[in-house]
Amino acid sequence: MNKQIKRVVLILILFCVALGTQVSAGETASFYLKNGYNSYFSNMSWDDWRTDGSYSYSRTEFIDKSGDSAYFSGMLIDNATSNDSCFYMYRIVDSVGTTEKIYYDLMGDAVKGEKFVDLRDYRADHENLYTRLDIHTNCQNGTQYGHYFSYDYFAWHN
Amino acid sequence: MNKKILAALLVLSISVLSTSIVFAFQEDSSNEDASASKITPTEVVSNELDQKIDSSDVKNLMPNVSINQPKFIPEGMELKESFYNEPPSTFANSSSIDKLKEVKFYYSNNNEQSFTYVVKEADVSIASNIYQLESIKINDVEGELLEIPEKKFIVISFRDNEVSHRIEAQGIEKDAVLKIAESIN
Repeated sequence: MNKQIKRVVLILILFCVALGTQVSAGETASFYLKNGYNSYFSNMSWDDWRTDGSYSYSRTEFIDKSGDSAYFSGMLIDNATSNDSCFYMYRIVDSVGTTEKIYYDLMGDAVKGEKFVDLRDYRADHENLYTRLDIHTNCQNGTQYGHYFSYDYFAWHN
Repeated sequence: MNKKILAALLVLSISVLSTSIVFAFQEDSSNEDASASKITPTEVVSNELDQKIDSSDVKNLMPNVSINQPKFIPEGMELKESFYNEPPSTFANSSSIDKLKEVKFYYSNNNEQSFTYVVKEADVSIASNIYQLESIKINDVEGELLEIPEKKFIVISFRDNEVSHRIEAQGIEKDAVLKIAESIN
């Protein structure tokens, strides 16, 4: 093959690779987040329940800047043991238009629950989509029962 | 081909490639930050909770949906609270938001038994990456049941009269959860 043609082909390949990198990096530039929590308790408020000496609760949440992934963990500390009836559950609401698919799975044991979620699994090729992550914490200790969940809405704009 | 044009193309490609490498490096740095501290998303819409409502408000909030609470409630349980939730209004397809609004009724016996009844117009299905789904019939309507037996957690989902119904039950026997679902009509 002519040397000049080889050079042109090489340059074009380099150019396309460079351009491709730029485009793919820009696709995940914007997402929206709305979050909050809700709680139900047998005989006390969430704040009382988590600080009354029976349990203390620590919640951590990392969300990737691009909105591609999220990590959640909840941990009961102080007097919590694996004998206490606690568990964590996550719920993923994958919404496309007016259709929702809700995934239910457990995360972790009685004392600590954690979950890494690849959000891209739930929004690939979808339009008008939002994903909602709910993290449930249920605990029962004697007569006290608490159900706490936090939720995060993610919505991506192309 | 003109050597000057070739040289120009080469310089252009190298500059674009360099920019991309710098950009990719910056992205990697951001991701490292993500694991080290709490990350703020591009835009936070709001920070709101589910809205607590009186059960009599339901008709005003979701006028297109006929909502009947379950007639069968296991002994000792009662309606504790009602909630209303709607997705953020910034969604691109705002016309679908009405269908995604939901009302939740929380019942409990102040102990280990509770269930939440959720109603919305959108077409809802349930799934799990670990647990098996069971096909059921609720008053001759096709439905799905998901059970996490080790946690005494059961979900029932069915769609009737263009409305999706979902029950999430904790500590309640399967037969009783089915009975609750059948009493919604």
